[in-house]
This record gives sequence, structure tokens and C-alpha cells, in this order.
Amino acid sequence: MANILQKLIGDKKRYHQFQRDVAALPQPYAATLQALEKYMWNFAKGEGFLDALEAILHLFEESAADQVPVAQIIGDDPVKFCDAIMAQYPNDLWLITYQNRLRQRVAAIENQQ
Amino acid sequence: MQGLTELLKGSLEGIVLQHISRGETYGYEITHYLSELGFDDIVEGTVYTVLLRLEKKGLLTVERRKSAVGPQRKFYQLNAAGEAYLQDFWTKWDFLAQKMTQLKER
Repeated sequence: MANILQKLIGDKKRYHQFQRDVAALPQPYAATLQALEKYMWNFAKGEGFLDALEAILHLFEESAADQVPVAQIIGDDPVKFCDAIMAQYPNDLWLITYQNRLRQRVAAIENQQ
Repeated sequence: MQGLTELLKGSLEGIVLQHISRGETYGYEITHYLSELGFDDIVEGTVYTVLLRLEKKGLLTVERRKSAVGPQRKFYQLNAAGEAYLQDFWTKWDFLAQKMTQLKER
């Protein structure tokens, strides 16, 4: 288990720091980010996964400081929000890898015609 | 105005780049600027995703540092590739705008 975790998040220290930073956020920012993180774990693939998590953390830290309501950060659909962020890390998230693989496969079939 | 999301999708990058080209800025300020322009339903996350995309494309210089007030922030500046990309955006935009006007008047 420890090895899998290592593979997914790379530096464990960095991940623990991430968890502490999330916990340090005021509510409802912390709870929302924890929910988003839980969803994103389903697609965790490589070390860059932590980059994606930290990108959202930074957005939440800035937004909490500016008192931007959570709905104003993520919009009306948390899934769309997460997917849009994850799409920027195509090599580190299975969902995005699968999506791109499907695009390539269909494009390849088209090219064969 | 609301309900612009779909129509704006492709041009938001250009709008954001154009704004950053006027000087270093950060996410919240950009969202605020867009809302002042009248783009009400653009949320923080949408702007942030656009910024991430522009950053990944190598069009921005990004520096994360503590601001005078508040937390660590990501500050964005346009780099040379960003300048070129922006020019190209406006060329395409002018073409599109011209065609749309023609279509409407026909």
C-alpha cells in the first residue's frame, strides 16, 4: 500500500503538507476541497497527480483570502470543475489518459479509411 | 450579460491574455475585471482553468509569491510566446468578426 501511495503521490512529505494546508483552510473551503480530492483519487495515476491537487489548493487559498464563495470558485458543477482542472494534467490522471486514448483511437480509424 | 458561456469558450483565452498584456496581474483581479466588463457568470475556477491552460502552453511567466496583503498568490505576466499568440488571436478574431457581420447583414 505504501508503495502504491508513493507511486501515485511521489513525495509523501509533500502530500502530508498538502493535507495540512487543506485542513488549515476555513470552512466550507476545506470540506469542499476534501470532497474534490476524494473524487480525483479515482483517476490518480502518476506523481503529477499531486500537482493537480496543489493547483486546486492554491486556487482555494487565494479565493478564501479574497472571500470568494465556493460556488463562485467551482461554478454549478463540481464534476465539470474537477475535470477541467484534471484535463491540464493528461499524463497523471487515468480519466484524462483514457479520454485522450479514445480520441487517438477514433482518429486513427478515421485516418485508415 | 448572462448565458454567454458557450459563445465565450474560445475567446476567453484571448480576453485573458489581452488583459495580462497590460501588466502583471492575478486570478481574482482578472475575474473581477471580467465581471466589470459585463461577463457576470464567469466564475473564479473558469478563469483559473484558462490560466492553467495558458501556463501549460508556455504563454505566461508565472510567479507564486506572497502579496502585500493576503496569501501566496500566482502572478501572471505575458512572455514572448504569449505576445505572439495574442497577435494571432486578434488576427483570427478580426476575420471571424468580419464574417459574422457579413452573415448577419446578408
